[in-house]
Amino acid sequence: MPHLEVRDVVKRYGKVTVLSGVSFSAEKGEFVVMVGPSGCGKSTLLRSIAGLEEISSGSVSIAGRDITTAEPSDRGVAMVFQNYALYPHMTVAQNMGFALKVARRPKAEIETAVTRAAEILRITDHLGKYPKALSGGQKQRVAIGRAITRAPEVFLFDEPLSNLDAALRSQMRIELSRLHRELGATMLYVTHDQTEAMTMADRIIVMNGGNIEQIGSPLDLYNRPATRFVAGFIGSPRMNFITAHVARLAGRSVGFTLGEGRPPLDLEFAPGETLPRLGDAVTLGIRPEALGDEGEVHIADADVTVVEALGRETLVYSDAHTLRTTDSESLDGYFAQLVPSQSDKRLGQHIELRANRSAFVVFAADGATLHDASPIHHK
Amino acid sequence: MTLRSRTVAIGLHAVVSLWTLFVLLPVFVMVISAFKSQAELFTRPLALPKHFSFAAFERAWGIGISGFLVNSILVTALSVFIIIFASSLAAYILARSERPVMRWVYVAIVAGFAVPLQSVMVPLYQLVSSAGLLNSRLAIALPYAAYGIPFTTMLFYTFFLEFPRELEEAARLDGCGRLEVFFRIVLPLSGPAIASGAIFQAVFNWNEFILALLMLTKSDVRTLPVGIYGLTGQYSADWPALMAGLAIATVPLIVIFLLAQRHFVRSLAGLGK
Repeated sequence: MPHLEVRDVVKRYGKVTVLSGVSFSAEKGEFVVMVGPSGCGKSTLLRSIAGLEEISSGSVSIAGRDITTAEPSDRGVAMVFQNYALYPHMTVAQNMGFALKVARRPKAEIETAVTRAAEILRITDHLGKYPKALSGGQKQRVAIGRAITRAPEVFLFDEPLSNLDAALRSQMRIELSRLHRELGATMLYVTHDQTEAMTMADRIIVMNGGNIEQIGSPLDLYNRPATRFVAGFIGSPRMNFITAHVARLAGRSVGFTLGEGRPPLDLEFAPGETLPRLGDAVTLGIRPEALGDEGEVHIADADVTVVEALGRETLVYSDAHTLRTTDSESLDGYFAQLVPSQSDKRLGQHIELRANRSAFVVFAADGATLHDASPIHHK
Repeated sequence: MTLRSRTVAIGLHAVVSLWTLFVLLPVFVMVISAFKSQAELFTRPLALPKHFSFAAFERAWGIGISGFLVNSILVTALSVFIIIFASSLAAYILARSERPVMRWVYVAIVAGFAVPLQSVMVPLYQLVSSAGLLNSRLAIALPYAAYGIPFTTMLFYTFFLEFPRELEEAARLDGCGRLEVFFRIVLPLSGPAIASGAIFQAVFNWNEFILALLMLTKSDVRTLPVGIYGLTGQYSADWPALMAGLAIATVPLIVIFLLAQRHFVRSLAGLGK
């Protein structure tokens, strides 16, 4: 039986539907990350599970117990908030022990629980301090410690790292993963940062517009995105999308237009993949790392417009003039290319954009994936 | 600093200095008059006293100021306590409730602020009288509380709108009921609002005269303003003693203000939001 089960959860604020029938489950000890753009309903879902929001319909159960209408404190959940939400008038130790104090547990038990949590998080030296004397990272540790002392069935994290600077964030990511292993606890983590999702999750739930787009392991989502939205959301820089239509059909071979006066791009659809119809409008997708100087398919000629040398890798944006990408992250219409080394490409340089046939993903007009790419393996 | 901002700064300082003088001058006159004789007070009203004499203070103390002082402290403390307790709780519920009717309740409370005391004095007297409370400290402490609640509720309301919700949510997850959230988390963190609310109401209730005069006819329950008024007769008044009594009455408030000034200013600075 799943440890956390969310079934058909609907949440409306007046006429606005924020969650439209969301269902998923998490096994005991699983680290599940919910990602999505702001306003996609991920925080509302988390708060509904915590009991801070009343849901309009549906049910939530934890460890086999229906908690849909239970008080927040009776649900067996603990939550870590984005702005820490530490009580400013209490010391670190009092903050961490507050839940047990409210539950009127004996002093010795509170002390043991607080000491243990402080040791796990390495904040023993700060127990006597007030929150205002702590740095952002320390505050977040205390907030996590407060959750640990309650020994909940499920930990809920609401964008806990977004107030920290980049260096601290990557440190805390590793720390949280360690914590998850040590405690063996079920964790549900909300973020809009796909790096956090990819690095920490056992499974990722991608949400968009109050619906779940896809649930799967990080690499699953990356390699086999179920929709164009997922393909665009997971992976940085973003996948390049090109609008095209079906120009010819022969058995399982489908030919797509690649601009005026160019021979169609033929892709072989695997058995089981849905074939589009002749004339259908589709979107072709190709990852920035799959674009290069070599490859079976010549996509377009282009001029380099931006070169971002990151040292280990280089990001090249180029303008293919007649062939534009759509729905791109930063430079609309330009192709993003990720070269896994330092590159000698210069601004204004004329290049060929090429890729292998197996690198293309095909999406239907409604966004569903029709054809998957094969993952790239570097030797 | 540029010339322009310096000119502005000088101008502001001039205005504030002038205002300070305007406020402090009567206080100054009160204090120096308390050390003068009746004759000197009228012949040289603004000059410093020739001899500092404590005779006026002795006469003022002689009419039982210590008793009035105790009454004033009791009445002010009780009314301020009721005001803070009721207003904070009411404002919290008003600020957190999503029910539309609560907005009207809030408007009704704020409207209570606009009812002048004079217009309800007679019915109020009858109410207190039929409750058998005349000549008791409750006779003025309760009306004071009723009169202080609207303003203080507004003060707390604006404060609670800004209060971080996450703290309350964290407390709910930690097992607190609604009231526990209020008393264990929200109220302990409402220092600035409590301080400014308390000072405002303390000043008002400490100085209040007309209701006290109406409700308290016996000398042993009188508060300071009414008690000191006893130094004026039908044909004459002992002005130096009156001033001495007022000077004594002013001291406790100044002490309270100095103690809570930091909170007071901070809270008022945020009131315009």
